[in-house]
Amino acid sequence: MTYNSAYEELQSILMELENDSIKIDDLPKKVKRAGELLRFCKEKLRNSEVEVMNLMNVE
Amino acid sequence: MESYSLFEVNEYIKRVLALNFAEALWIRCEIGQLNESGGHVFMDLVQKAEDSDEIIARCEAVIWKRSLRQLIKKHKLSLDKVLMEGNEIMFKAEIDFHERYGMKLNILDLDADFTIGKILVKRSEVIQRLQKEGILKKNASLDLGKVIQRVAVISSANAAGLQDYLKQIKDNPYQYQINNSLFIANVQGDRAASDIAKQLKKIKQFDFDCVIIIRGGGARLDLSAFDEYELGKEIANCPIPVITGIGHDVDETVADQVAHTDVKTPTAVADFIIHHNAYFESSIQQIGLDIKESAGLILRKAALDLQSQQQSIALSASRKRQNALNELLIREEHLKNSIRTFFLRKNADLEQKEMLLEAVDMQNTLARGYAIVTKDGNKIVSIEQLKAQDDLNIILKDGQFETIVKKISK
Repeated sequence: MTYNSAYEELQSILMELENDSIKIDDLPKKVKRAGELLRFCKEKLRNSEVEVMNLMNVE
Repeated sequence: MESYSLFEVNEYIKRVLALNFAEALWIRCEIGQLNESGGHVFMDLVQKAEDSDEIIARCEAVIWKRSLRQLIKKHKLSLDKVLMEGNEIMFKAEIDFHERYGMKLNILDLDADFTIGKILVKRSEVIQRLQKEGILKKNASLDLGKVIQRVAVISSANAAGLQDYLKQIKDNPYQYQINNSLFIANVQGDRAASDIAKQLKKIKQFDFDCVIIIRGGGARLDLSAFDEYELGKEIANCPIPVITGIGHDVDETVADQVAHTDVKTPTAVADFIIHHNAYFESSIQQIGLDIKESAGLILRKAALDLQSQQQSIALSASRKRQNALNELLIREEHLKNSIRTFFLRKNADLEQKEMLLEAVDMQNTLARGYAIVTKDGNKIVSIEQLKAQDDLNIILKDGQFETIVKKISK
């Protein structure tokens, strides 16, 4: 999974939630999935930030 | 007829003369011939016609040794100048008549100034004549050239003056070699002027650097030849510079004044030539030094220029590098800022999504009939956080209410 694909999926889940277009039964699964995606993105972002910062400082 | 002996006649003449010429007279005339013998001076005096060389009067004269000594004491050096063949003189003399030796003028005193005056007048007349002809300064205005190497020497054959000149040249301290060509001529007496003029005519056909006329070391300074018009004219018209070294104490003859250069003695002529060449040599050496110095200056200046160029280049290069480096640093800062901003935005975005998700999650839970318990604004998820009588806030899907803890049990 890439950051972009995860982010896009997260984005679409959130939009569904706002639209109220999610079925109550699907809700927990969707929310859980959103949480995973969120964690994934945050992790990826943090790692990338660290790596980039290191690259900049080594220069 | 009456006759007398020669002795009687002469004796009578003697008495008549003695009677009529009791006192000495001042007489003017010209010296025809002159010799010295036994310490006395014997002269043949003449008077020439006004406008020709025809002799109209003649007489013998003598300066006895004793009188001569007195004259020398009185006139010193001038005497030599006066007692020359060809000079006009004025003297005081007694008329002596001797039976045996005939008539002689016994010279007792001289007016030296008369003679010298005449010489000077004649000289100045010749000078003026040459000046009027426009040739007085002609030889003097010739260029002597930078170096004198080929010299035409006019001198009498065995003169001491010639030896002096040659020795001085040979012994010169710079070891210059001078090429001397000898042209023999009388340098005194009545043939001198024409002899020298004749040699000058011969010399000017050749390519000499200069002509020198030298004489010296003589007992008498007979310079009369050098006051002649013909000789002066020949020297003036000579196409080669003429240097005279004919020996004199004060006065300059016509020849001296007309020549390019006049010096006192033959030795002085040699010195003049040597110094002329030495001056040239030293000026060449000076030019050499000047060239060396100028070249040195030019080189040093070029070296300094080069050095400053080098410094300019180094400075420019380092400035360029510095500028490039600064540019890079600025770019780096921009990049870092952009990255920071990027991550801040992304994090903020995710945080916002997290909050949204939390909110939805909470709503969902409440909709299913669950309640959220808070105490002092904090969410309660365990009985450990509670004690009896705590004030609690209960949130339900459509609102909230307050309650108090009654009893806690596991």
